[in-house]
Amino acid sequence: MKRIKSKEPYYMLAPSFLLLCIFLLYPLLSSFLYAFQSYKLTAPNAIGFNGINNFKAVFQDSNFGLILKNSFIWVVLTVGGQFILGFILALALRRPFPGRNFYQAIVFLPWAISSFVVGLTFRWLLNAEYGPVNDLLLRLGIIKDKIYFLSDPELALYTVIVTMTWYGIPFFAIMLLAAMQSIPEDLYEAADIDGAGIWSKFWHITFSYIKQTIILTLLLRTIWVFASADLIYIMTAGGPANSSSILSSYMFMKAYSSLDYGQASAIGLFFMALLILFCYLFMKATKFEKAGNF
Amino acid sequence: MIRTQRAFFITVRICILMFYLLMVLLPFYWLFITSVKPRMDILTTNIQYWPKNFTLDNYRVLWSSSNFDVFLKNSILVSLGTGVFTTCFAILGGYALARYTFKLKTMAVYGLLLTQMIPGVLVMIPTAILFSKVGLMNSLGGLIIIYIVGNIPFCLILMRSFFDRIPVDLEEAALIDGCSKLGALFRIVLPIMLPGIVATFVFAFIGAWNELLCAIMFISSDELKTIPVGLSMFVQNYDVNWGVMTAGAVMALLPSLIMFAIVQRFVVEGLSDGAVKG
Amino acid sequence: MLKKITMGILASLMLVISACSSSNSNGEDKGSNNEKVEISFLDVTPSPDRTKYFNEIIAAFEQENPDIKVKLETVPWDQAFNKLTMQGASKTLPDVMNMYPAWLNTFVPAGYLEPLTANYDAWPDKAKLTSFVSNITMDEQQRKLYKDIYYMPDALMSGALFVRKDWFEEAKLPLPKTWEEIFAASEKLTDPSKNRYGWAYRGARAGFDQILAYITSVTGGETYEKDGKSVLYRPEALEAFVKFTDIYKKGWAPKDSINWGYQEMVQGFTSGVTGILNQTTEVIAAAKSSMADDSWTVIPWPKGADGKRYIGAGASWGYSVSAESEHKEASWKFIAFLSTPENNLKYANAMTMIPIFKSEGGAAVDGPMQGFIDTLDDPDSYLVANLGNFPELGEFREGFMDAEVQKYLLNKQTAEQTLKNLGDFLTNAQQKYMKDNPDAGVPQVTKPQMR
Repeated sequence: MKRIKSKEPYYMLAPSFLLLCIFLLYPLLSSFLYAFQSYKLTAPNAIGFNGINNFKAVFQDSNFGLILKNSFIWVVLTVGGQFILGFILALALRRPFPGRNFYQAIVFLPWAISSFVVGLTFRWLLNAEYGPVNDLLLRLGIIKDKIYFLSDPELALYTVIVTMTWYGIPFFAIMLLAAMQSIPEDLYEAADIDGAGIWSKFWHITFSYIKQTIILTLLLRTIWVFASADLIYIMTAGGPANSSSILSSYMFMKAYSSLDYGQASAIGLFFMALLILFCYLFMKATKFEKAGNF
Repeated sequence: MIRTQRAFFITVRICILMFYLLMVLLPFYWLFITSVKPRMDILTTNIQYWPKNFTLDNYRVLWSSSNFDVFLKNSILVSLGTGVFTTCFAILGGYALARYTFKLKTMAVYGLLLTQMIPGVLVMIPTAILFSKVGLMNSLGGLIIIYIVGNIPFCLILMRSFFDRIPVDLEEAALIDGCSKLGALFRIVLPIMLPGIVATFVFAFIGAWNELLCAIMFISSDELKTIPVGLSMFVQNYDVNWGVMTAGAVMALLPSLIMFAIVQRFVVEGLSDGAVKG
Repeated sequence: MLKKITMGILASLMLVISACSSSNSNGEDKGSNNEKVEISFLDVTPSPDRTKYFNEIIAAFEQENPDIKVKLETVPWDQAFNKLTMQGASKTLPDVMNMYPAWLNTFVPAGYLEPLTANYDAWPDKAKLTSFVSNITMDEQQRKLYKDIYYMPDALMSGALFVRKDWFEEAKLPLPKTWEEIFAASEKLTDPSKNRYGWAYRGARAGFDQILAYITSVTGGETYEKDGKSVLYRPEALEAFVKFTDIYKKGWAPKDSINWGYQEMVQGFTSGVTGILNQTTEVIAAAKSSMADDSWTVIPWPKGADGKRYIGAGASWGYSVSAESEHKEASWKFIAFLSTPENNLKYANAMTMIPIFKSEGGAAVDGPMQGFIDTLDDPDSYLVANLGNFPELGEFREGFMDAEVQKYLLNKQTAEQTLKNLGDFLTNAQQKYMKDNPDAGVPQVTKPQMR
């Protein structure tokens, strides 16, 4: 089945890569050049190469350490939370139960809503003065003092993480569920005959069968979450005092507010370098290549 | 022993399902009741958990004074276009990656992963320059291209992992039975793959349905705007028209809800009557 | 076979793409056949009311000029700046657009805007402008800084205080006239047990502007010394900074408000959490639609310790023509039509802003607006200097200034250090700007005049 010298795979991949090259690679290469130039839109006559000055400016920022730390917390907790909760949901949905179709349609809804609506709504829900969450908790007697979800520097980042987790659970659940659906049923039947317990069935069949999907979704989701700043921008604007800024939100806000595309591109490249490093480590750790995916 | 264990697991499962339902429903409940409140009742310190003065005015305003029907049409067009083409490309490319070994394969996969690391804001302006040269600025076609480009890498990799799970023997058996290679793909493999294909389609569709930034950046004419842009119009610099915006958000959810309801039949049942068993 | 499928899919994609793009190019073709000019007009702060107004005005304009067609485009305010930048870089700006005056220091050097000086100088309605518009908006804020006129103001906005009349009556307090009275009232109106706070504090998204408004009332409206040093180094600025931020630190504002931006401070006021709101005239519409009429009112900007009012006022937006527009003449015609005294008055009334023309025979503007005009006309009123025109201003405003103040509000940094950091940033940028533009000087306090 596997042929080595065939042009067929190239024809099959051609349409995708054609589009990617024209509309992604070409723009990327132009911004690659910007990174080594002084390229400010406000000074169109002073555009020229300036070596690595743009990169220097990035690293000299005094908030850099805090923001790297925040990015780390943000990625680990968000992706971890989305994955674990999504996995549990997918497991709970695997076997039919009355009304499952309807139930499923509802629990996947967060996925089907625009992130800015999510951000605005949660910002309102969690507002300490006129938001319903605090009001409810106070009325039910669960808390005595208001919780300042978005204005307490110790809490703000975690509040956005919870929101982002809420938003991302359906993605994992759907992907994992679809993968679980393609597990041949006779594997379970055979395991039942062997008298395997629930945990053993979970580990040896469910988990190992969908491992590929898990690794893949984890990898991609990490990249996306690392780069996504819209909820942070909408809910806290990185505040208070940068306590909820992550690399993507802070750096781009800074560079774009001064319309310095040279610096923005330098940040973008630094950003990609970090992600490439992460992917390399992740693949090593999960033995992605050995699993036959490459 | 087994019976109590089973009962225990069923209870746990019900609790888990209830927990997710509540967690999801509460924010949506809030969106919904906001959409049926008059403006004076929406932002008050005396929070109304049940609308005191029920009204459908927000929906009326949404349909009469904004171009919501146009936004809806555009969103459906763009999302369907994105979904269909992305899925087609992903099936082709995913099959190539799963079933063949070829020289540039590793590079191709790394290339796909790499595209996911490109910060969108970085390529926005070069893309705009390119688009304005080829006349794709301010057109739904251009938007579809952007969304396809944005969704292809993931969908392709995803599709490949679905193909990987289909035993090669199935195809080989079909080939022996006299099917052509493509015949085997269309008649045997794709039907089994239906859950994966549907998941891929839904993914691309929803991605296009919700996207806001590119839709704002690349579309200017009001008659070409999509729903997220339409909704963001109710957020002014100092004032959010919560009533109408939430009404729009609720309306925008309906197509997805219907799609989810239809589609999961495939996701859920796709395999049960498939060829794997037989 | 496989090749055919691949080609087939690609071909159908091309077909769909071109089908989806055609509606756009068709319109242009038709236009050129009938010798009809089509210009696009972008509104950067759309709302249903504005869209309704502009559609009516466009219909009237097209009736008067049958050979010109105007296409209204909109972009949500949050993304407006980014979108215009992108359109400028890709040379796809609309013919006419709403310009936020603060954007000029980016767009003029980038060469995106067409000078309107010749058109403005020959404009017949010029003489009817209020002296505020012709002296300050046109000359001080444009011609002096950029050597040309780049926008025609749509209307003026000015700051004022929105107050909860019923709360003041309940507390038997007179409506405040000076800053001292405001601080006192903020404290007295605060009652956390009733979830009531005196002041609608804004800690994020350009919240420092609100602090600066008070600081400039003790610096005589100035923002820089002659040599470009920031006034934030002055001891009285430090005192004012501490006094103002005490509103937050002493709990006369909601604790949550450290994270509040424009939307929350207005929502905080309209939802009944806060009693005093420092905002511009355009908020009147929002207050009207979500609050009972007799519960609130607008009072003039408070006087400082020296008995003078230091106010911020200026064009809310302006109409600009893009440099690469192919229909500059038609674009100016449209702007001139938007700016006739009748249309401008209609616009100003609909948006609750101040018209740009002298009122003829009085009673031309709606009630609360006249109060703003009178404030601007008050002999004791002065227009505060701005923060400058250097390109780093965007970076300062977008993230830096609020993060620094927030550090102080959270007790992570002293007031001295905060003002030093802010002052250093401004001083460096302003002095560099003055070095590059030797005849620019520092921003000046001006005397507004409406009549």
